[in-house]
Amino acid sequence: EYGGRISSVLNVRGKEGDTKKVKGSLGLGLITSRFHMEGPLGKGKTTFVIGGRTTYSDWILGQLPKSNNYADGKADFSDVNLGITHRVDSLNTIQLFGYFSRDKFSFNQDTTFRYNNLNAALRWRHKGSGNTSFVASAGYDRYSNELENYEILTEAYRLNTDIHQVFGRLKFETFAGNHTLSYGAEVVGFGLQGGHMTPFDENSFVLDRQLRTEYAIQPSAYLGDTWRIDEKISLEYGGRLSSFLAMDPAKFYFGPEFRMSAKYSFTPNLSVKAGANTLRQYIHLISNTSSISPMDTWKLCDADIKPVTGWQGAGGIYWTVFDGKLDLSTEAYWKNTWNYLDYKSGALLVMNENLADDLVRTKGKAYGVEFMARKSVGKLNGWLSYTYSRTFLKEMEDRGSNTINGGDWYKTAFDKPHDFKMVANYALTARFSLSANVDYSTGRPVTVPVGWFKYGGGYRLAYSERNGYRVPDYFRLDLALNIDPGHYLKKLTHMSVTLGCYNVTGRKNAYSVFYTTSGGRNIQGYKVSVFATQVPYINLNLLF
Amino acid sequence: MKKFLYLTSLALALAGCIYPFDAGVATEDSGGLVVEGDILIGDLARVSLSCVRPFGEYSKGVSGNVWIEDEDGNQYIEDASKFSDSFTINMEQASPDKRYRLRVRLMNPVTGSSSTDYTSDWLEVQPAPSFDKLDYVVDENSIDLKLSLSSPGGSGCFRWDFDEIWQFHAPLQATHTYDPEQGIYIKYKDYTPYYWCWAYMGSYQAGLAIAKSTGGERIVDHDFYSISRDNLRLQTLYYIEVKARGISQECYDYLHTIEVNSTSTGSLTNPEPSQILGNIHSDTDPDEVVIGYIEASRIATKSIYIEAGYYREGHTRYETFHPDPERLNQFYYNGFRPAFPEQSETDIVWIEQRCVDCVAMGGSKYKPPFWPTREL
Repeated sequence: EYGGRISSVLNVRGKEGDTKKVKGSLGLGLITSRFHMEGPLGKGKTTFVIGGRTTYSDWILGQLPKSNNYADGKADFSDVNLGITHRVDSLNTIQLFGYFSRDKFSFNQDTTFRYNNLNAALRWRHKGSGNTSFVASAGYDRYSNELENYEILTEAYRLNTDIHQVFGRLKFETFAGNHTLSYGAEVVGFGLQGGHMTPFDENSFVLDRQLRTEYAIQPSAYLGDTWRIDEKISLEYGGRLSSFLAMDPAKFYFGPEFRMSAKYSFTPNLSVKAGANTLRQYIHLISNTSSISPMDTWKLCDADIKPVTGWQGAGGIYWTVFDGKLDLSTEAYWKNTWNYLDYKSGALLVMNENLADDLVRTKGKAYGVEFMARKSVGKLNGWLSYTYSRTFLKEMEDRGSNTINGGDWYKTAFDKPHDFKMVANYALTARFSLSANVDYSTGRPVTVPVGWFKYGGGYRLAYSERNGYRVPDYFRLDLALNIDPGHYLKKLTHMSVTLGCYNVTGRKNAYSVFYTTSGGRNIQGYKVSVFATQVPYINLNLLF
Repeated sequence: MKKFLYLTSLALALAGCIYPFDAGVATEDSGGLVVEGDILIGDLARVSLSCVRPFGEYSKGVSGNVWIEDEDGNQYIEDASKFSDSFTINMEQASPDKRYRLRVRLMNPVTGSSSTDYTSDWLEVQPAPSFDKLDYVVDENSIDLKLSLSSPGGSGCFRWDFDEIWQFHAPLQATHTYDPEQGIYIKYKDYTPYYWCWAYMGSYQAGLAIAKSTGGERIVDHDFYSISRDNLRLQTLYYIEVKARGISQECYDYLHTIEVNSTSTGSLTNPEPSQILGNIHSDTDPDEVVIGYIEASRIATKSIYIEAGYYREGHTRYETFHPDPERLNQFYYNGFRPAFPEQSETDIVWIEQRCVDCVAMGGSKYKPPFWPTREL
């Protein structure tokens, strides 16, 4: 059922509203607020879910005196979601789901970034009279981002990129004894606008320039089976035929994807899982990691750019101990990929009409192991995990002296060997509880200048091997005190207050690293940090 | 409450900030050998050695010897006993039908003995391109020189350098000079000997001059040099000789990367920087980073003159003065010279030396043997 991507599957299901009563929650804070409400509409055949989150730093920063240089700062994040479920009858349900997010922030007073997400889907679930049911869905997704740069008025610009897709899916499930057969098909239509640059205002001399919009269709069909052999063993296996048709000029790709996994339960509290699958992906991501803000460039497969292919194997042990109070798990994986795109030295990734000329094909390997412990009950609860993982790439072709890192394996921009996370809650009393969130990871790799030399009559910069250095490690500690004023079972609303501090240690975690040079000999490195100091907050939470 | 609001706002204001960053570059990552040069078949091979230096440090000398080998084992060397950082090797007798490679032997600065050897890849001789055109276009403020090159069967990538010679004169023509030893004025019999000069400039100061065809095997009307119309080059007679050669696609990519790595960094629309490995390798450590790309090429040469008529003199004021007759020597040794009589033959005004002496302006009295004009 899942394919067309080389990454792992993240299954997100929309929530269906409460069928009996309207309820919700509200969180009000000086920096952020959130809202959630769900319940029945009319006579209970229809339910709704609506929610939203926002920050409003623009308003707060606007309260500062205008003489303060920070009054024009921007950091604004918001999203809203809506779901409506209507039970037509006992066999048919219609669902409408929508999500929209809008993020905006500035690092300094002359650059603003905006990211928007829009997802909309309509789903029809039908339970067949026999053992077969199906779900038909259709929808639209769009991701867009905009960069505004107005450092120099005559060169100020807006840069927009956009990727959108429409999809239609039909999924069947047939229950046959110990087998659950799932089969279906889907079609996804892509539209990708790789870059549209426009002058910021009438003072700018930037020309209006737009890259050609790419279009493609990705049809696929699949067949799978989940076989519960007995209480201890279950198998899941299947195949998917995915294809891709790029438009103008037309280019067709297709290939199978296979998946197999097995689960064995030694006891109800101890099980092992293992699986392997092959992968195909027809859309490429190339990241600009050496600028003030890492921005992604997307590229569909075409006549010059082949799909990414690969395979992955994973296994894990899952153990619940202490009478179900503690869940322990260990998972490991290995992945190989081919035709993964990386950029050549000196590549221009933004507004490049011939982007394929600046890209190279690589093969990749990734592996890792994760240890996780989760305690769901008791005064102290939460979870912690440690992951050791590595990812490397290597050019598939020998381009002589221009081959990246001489043809050796090199770290990808996402290689973070150590990753530790902890979320903990401790109930001091019935009314007071503490929360802590710890996030640590190895700094991501970067390519940095290592020295200067003279060549061709000028001063030049010598750089390290691709991703030969790292930004400083990431560490963040958030603490919060939650206060429940009282527990009144018969009251319509229940209120609590959260006092907290984000980034308690005030660590200036690096979001990006970049260098500026003057004359090729004098160079200065900079790191951009978002929320580079302690950020205290108060939230009023209301349940109704 | 106001204070809390203010503090929260400040915290948010500091939300996105830029700080200095030091990657902690390891010493061994800087210090690599840099080899720059070209093997010009039928001409000279010029090779220089240097090294990558850490930021904040000055350049450091590199000493070694350099020679060129062909595939038959013949060697071309300037001087087997020379240890230096700059070499000129005569390749006039070298055949374009063979392959060549560069050899470098570094000297250990402490012991004085040879330390490390480096060898380039075997190099095919790139054919000489054809000059389709060497021309210039005059606009309001400058003269833009253009060249058109083609190389049938070549990569469509070219590199060039050029030598300039121009004749110019001092702003004013002095009629007298002064002899500080005798303390007397001497009147010139003929044209002032320091009025006409020549200046020479090679394009080693012009940067990496490379271009690539966007289709086919030629570049057409490529702007490669611009001369401002108030530049002395255009005052009397200007001569430029361009030496062009074809380079491989790999060499072009290498030089282009060197250029953009250093001139365009940090912004979203700048090219991605990265390490560049040339075609010269350590004999003992194949992983050692050596910067430099050597090509073997044949050159094509073309030259043009630009006549006077486009020059626009800048708005420079020349101030003459009447010196104290008792202090003429003092003025002489402080960079002033007599110019011409003003009210009478004995009333000679003085001026800055550079206004009447073209050599003081940086010129040379050496006139090239082929120069067409007759000025002394």
